[in-house]
Amino acid sequence: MRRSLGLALTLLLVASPAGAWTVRELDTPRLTFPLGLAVAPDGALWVASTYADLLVRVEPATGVVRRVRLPRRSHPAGLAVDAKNRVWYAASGLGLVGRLDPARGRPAEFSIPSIREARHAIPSPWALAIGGGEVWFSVQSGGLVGRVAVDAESRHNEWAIREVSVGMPTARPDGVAVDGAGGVWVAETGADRLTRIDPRDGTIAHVALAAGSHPRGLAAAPDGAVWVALAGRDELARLEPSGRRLRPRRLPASVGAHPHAVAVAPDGGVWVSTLAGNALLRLDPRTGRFDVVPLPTPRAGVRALAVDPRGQIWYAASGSGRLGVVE
Amino acid sequence: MLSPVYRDFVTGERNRWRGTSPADFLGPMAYDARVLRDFSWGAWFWNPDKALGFPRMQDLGTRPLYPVDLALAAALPVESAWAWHFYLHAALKIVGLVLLAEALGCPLWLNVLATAAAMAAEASLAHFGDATYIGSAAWLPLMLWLTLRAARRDGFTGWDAAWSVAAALWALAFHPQYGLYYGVLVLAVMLWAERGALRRRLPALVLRHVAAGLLVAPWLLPAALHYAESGRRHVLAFEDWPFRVAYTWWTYKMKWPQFLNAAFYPWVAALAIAAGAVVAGLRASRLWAPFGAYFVFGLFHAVPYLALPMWLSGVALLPFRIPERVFEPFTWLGPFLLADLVTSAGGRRRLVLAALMVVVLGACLLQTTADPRSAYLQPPFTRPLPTRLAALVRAEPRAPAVFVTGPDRSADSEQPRLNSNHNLVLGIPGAHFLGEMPNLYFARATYRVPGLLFMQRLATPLADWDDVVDVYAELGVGWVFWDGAGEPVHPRLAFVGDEHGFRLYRIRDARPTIYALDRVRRVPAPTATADVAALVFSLPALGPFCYDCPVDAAVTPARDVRLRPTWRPGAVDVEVDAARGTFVVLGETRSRGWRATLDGAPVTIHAVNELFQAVAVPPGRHVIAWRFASPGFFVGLALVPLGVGLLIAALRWSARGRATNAP
Repeated sequence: MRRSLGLALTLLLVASPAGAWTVRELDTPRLTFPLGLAVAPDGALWVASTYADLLVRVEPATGVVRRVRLPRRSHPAGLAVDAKNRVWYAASGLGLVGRLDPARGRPAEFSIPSIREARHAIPSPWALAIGGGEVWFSVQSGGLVGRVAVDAESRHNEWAIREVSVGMPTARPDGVAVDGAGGVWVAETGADRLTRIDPRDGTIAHVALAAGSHPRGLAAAPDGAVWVALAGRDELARLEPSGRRLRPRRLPASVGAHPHAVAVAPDGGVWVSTLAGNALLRLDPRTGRFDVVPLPTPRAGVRALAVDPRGQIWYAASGSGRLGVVE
Repeated sequence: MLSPVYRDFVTGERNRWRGTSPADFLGPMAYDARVLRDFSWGAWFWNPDKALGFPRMQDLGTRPLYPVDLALAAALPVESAWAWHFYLHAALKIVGLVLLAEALGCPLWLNVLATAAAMAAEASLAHFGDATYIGSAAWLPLMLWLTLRAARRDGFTGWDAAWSVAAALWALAFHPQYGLYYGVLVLAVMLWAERGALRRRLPALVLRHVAAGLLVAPWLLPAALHYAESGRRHVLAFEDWPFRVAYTWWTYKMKWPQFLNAAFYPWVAALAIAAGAVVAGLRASRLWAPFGAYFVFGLFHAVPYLALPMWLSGVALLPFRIPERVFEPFTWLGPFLLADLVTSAGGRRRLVLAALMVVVLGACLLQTTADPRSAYLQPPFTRPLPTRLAALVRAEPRAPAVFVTGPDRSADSEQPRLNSNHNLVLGIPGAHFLGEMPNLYFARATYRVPGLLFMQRLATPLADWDDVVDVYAELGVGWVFWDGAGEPVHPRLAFVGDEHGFRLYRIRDARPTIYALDRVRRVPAPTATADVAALVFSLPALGPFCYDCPVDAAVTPARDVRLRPTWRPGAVDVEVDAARGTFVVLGETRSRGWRATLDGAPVTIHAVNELFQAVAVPPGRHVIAWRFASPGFFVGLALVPLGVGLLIAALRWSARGRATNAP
């Protein structure tokens, strides 16, 4: 379905206290608790309208919106777009990962093998990241991380997904990121630790965090470092490329915090959303200074961030159901 | 040698024979006990502790007006009342079976064999799995007995009157699906038993049905009216609802093994009964013809190929899920089909048939000891409930709780899990609904919100529900009972305490049950349920929405509005003082039984957030009064004396007629 937005792109403009940033929310049809957002190589934005079982494609340049209906109860959470503009989504309600080729109709579906043993609740895939020709994703309900080749074929009775157990079932893997060396980082919200998986040999290394950290979003920086939002401690932490040293930075107390999603901009700035503060924060790693960018809608609940080729930060607000951009 | 079901029944080892988590049924009985102890009409009609408020008369799964259960709940502690519900109905079923055998002319030895076989049969064991199963089944043999006894008599007799009273009690006790199936069976037996005398008997038959209907009118009328706005009635509106498959008969596909299992179990007994029919012939039988007709009805009801015409017409006859249940009577009343043949046979045939009856009994007993199916066998709920945490909730201003079960918990068949009805046992309000289909508005607003509307035996993945705590808060949910491993992460969740593995979280700044609105977001009433979901998920950011509110209603800032609410179940009074007028919301599910007045004059109730109700208040001091009464109840109550009078008048008129006609 297409709908031209035309001039509606110019909506609410809010100047940040820092004065350097403006927030613009698009007048797209309201999304139902979006949890995933990704920028495609062709410049289009893809948003998961999670509880409406929709993937929404937005062309920022033209304002054209296209909605793709997924199978019922898919509840798409995390999104990623591969080099061929195919959209990968975590169907958290169906226990599978899907790959939508916009040029074709029906998405390819890859079931999580542990669904065979699931007795009472299906595994819930959550966040996605692409690296090394594979899609990596966290499975919140099973303490698992899954991997599937980006060009895998979906065949009946074949399991393209391989699973890696990172810890106990209550580890609750959340954010996933692939670092510059190809290592896959996973934030284990329920276990207060970060886990690195080496895709080549499957080696797993853990980095313990302070109790109550509850790491959520992850993002890899071009310098090989990994940034993580510590929701339980209101901190944004940088894990050095060595993977041994963690440098947490407390978020400004004034914003209320509870950081969630993280993204690293091409200029090196690290963006993090705060659920309690209803703001986006930008950290300049060189100066350690945070810029606070308030959001126009209260309790917007931003749970997904993405960076476009122009370096603009896009956000999907699960509370307000809006898609916005910081310029 | 006894089945564990009867062993536990006899030894009083609680819960094993009570089916799904006893809280499924103890909860409603606990609520009934509270209503009877502290009676008010509001609490009688409106259960505020379930699904953000729920019409009690709509709760067909809990039989809100069954006098036996009400008497038990009034006289005994809830758990004892619950146990006695089973004791009494097991006894009633045995009495009914013995009387039915007697009506068929069975000698004592045959009576004992047939009754024992019926009580040991698979389906009879399954009856112990659900309060309404045993409630339905216990009355069926008695109804069949009365049907046979009343048949072909002159005029309206005491048997007809007894039939009416028993049918009324039965209707108030039964499980809707089994009850209707059994009703068709009784109808078939009645038509067969009355054949040849139908024209003469028609007035009496009509009278006894009308009288039974009048006796249950206080339940029948409200139930029908509430059903009109229940989620089940409108299930087809939920186009993307995954549970729709489970709830609609149209899409239910029964497989042949299911049919065979449902109709002919245990196999040996079914074969022995069939062999009896071959040996004896069916000419003298009193039950085979009506049971055969019922079997044909069952085939057209449940077997996909035969039911095809109804699918094409779009109208299903008795649209129930699990339609193979229609064959259930054969699996426990089957021995009576054989007993029916034995009574009319003589000589060697009688001996063969008697031997077959022993085989039937043996097969039933054997399968009870082997316990080939376990659906009715549940482990006891041994975990102590979090009573201390519940006391903390009760001590705070009223706010509903959500009970969430983690995926690490076992299925109910292995370890009964915390479920929604536990909140009734604990005496705290619940925001969620479990099992059957709730009110349409509640279903439309919550069907996409994890943890609020769920089926039994399904866990709520942690990943799903803690993200939507903001939505809970807007819906007025103040507490979360978490039964599972792991720790939820959300800035509004404050850990309060744990007890016996249950953890209690408070949701900060949740909306109170009664509040004034700062502003009203007017939106067009959605036609698609998915659009309702989008509006509900936008609540945290954009605030409450309303379909038909007057735009100028809420002009006084909420902080400047003074509210003095007096809350009771189904009866809420609020003194409002707002300088420039306001809009007051009652965070309980709207339903057609609600009425509101402003300073004594009726006012319009507006739908807020799809499921709540609000009243516009003009500037100044005013009093809003909300009252709930199930529509049709008092009309139905007025019809009861009419039913009783009809029975008495019919008996007298008929007796006089018989006396006049006597030679």
